[in-house]
Amino acid sequence: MADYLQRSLFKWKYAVLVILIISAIAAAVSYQVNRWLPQYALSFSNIIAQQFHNKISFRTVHYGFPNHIIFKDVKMYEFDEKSPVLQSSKVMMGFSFPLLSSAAPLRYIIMNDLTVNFPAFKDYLTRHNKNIFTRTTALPKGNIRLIVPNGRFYVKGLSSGDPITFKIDLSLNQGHVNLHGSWGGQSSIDLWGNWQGNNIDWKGFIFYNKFYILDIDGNLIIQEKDITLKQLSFSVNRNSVLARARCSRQELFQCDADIALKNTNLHLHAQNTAQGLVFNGWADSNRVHVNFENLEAMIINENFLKLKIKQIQSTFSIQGHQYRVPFEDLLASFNFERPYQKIITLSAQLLAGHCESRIFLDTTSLPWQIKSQGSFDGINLEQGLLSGSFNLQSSKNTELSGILTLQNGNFDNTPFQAWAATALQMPSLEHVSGADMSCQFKIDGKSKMFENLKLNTDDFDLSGFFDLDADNLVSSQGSVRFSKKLFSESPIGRHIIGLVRGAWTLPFEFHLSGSLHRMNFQWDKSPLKDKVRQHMFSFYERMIDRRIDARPAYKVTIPNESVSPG
Amino acid sequence: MKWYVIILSLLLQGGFAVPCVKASQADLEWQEATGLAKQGENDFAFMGFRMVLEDYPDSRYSMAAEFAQGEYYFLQNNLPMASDEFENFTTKYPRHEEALMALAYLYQIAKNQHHPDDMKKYRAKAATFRQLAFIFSDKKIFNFLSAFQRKHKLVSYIDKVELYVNGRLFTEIPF
Repeated sequence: MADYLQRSLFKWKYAVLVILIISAIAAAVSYQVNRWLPQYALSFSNIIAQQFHNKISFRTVHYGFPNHIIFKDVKMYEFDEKSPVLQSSKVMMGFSFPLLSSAAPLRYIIMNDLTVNFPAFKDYLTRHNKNIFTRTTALPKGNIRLIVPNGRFYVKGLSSGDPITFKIDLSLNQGHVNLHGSWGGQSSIDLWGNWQGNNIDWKGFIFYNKFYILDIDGNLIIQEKDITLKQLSFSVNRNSVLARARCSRQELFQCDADIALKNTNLHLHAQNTAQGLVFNGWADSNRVHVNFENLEAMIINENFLKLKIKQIQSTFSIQGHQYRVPFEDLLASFNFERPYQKIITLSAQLLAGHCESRIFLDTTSLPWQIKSQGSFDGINLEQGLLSGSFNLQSSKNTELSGILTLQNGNFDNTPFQAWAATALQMPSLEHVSGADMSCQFKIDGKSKMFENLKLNTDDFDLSGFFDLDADNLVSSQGSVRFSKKLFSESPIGRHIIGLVRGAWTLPFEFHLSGSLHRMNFQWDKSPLKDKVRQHMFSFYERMIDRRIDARPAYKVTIPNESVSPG
Repeated sequence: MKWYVIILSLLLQGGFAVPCVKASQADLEWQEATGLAKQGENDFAFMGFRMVLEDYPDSRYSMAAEFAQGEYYFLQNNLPMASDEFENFTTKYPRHEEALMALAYLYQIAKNQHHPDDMKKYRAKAATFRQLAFIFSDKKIFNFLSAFQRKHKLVSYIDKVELYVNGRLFTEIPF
């Protein structure tokens, strides 16, 4: 037993001795390295600064046994700039062991609390991208891992929301790169790819809030004079997107991009001008074509974006009719201050008039909920001067309501006019000019309602409502007072004037119902109808009804006989 | 010469006589079938109406006999067959008032079968069936005695169609 204890103690003594020796060596190495490390790090950062046209500062640097170095409060500036482009509270760099054995001693970089001043970083990359690319490709070959826990992007000095954690594995000798990032608990990005010479291929997927961007497949060619995105395809929530672009790397930045969405094609031309980046282009879908000129985007702060568009020409077709709506001097502002709630304000000149709108967008869940209020004034249409206001609510169904007024309006041969002109035998109704119209409207899904409808012209005053349900079935009631001239145009009207003195001064009340294209008509009980009936025998009424039944288009002929004296 | 005239006149008489004989046979078969319907022998009456349709497809009874096919299946509560027959009827006689009655049957069948899409379809068809104008009267009435001797009354208003069978409201199509 005593022998056993003595042997164990002897072994422990050796073990402790070995540990002490190693600790002493580690301490000595750490002490020695830490003595010359700050100076070496400073000179090394100066070399990097010269090569990459920047300035790097740090508060302290320490060697950690056996193979890592820790920098604290690291800041990277562009030359002559006061605010840092990148900064990190702690940067840990790990090297392969032994220190000088490999061609690529740097194994990993961990950047804690990385903060990126995005506009400055973008400017820096724009100015020095060629140099950075050349220097990076000339780095010693090896595998490097970059880990950034809790990184943040800053736009104009303000934070951009959730911190992002990402990890990049770079295999410099084989030309592979893997990137994994995550932020906000539900969002992540995974990209992987490789490069050979100037050719970069990548694939991946991104989950962002409720968006699933899958099957990313891209190919980029970086050349001396330009960068070509040969193709980038992916799907957003099962909607496929294909993009191609070519950007000039010359002093005057230019970029042309073509994007194909499900039913929409988009072409963008971006150019750097004295006003900043200006976009021109067009968007084309099945029924709508939009051309825009001089689009300028201004980032006021991280939550506030402004767009200015000199001119928009939109062309769309509804039921075979082509419409052109030209907007001028469109101003749009996007407020992203509240998470999942966007506020968009729009104002523009439209056909010598003005329109403005405020849109509330709730992106909490799909489909997005849209609420919008707007007004328009003095819009000069071919049909008259249009003014009004509207409220829009849209999620699964769209509901649009508001008020419309049309001054000095012209209506030519609309289906309703054609019907009324035939039914009432008043050909003048096919062309109405100088009309003032007002109504409240509500469009709920496929149903449409026009309430408090008033149409006043020199020849008639109409009031009532006209509702159309989702199956194109009409429910309408109206009251119309004709001028003597128009009333006399119709054989029925002339006959009624013969029966009732001053008949045109009494309102003609009616109902419409049934299919929009084959509306049923009913002359409602009213003082005019009562007075007409007072002058008619019942059999004569039945005769008129039968004649109307025999002629579905209501071209009734008035029997000459059997009329009671007026 | 006289012989030729006599033979020709006989041939012509024969030619006219054949359809007359057939028409009278159609009358007889129709009368027999409707007689069975009056006695409540609906199954035999139905077979009689089928015979009329098969033997005399162009007779003046064909439309009523075809309507009777749908009506029979409806009375038998064989709604899918009734629906098929009334569909065929509306396709074959699109402009007859009886077709609007068939649409009313189809609407009621869809309602009984809880088929809202079909109800919408038949409602739209009823609404577009005929453009009506009500100047002095507020309704239009069409009466029809079906082959099964049931009195049908179709009342069209500006915004609905009502079908009465034997004095009772059978269905109402609002639009």
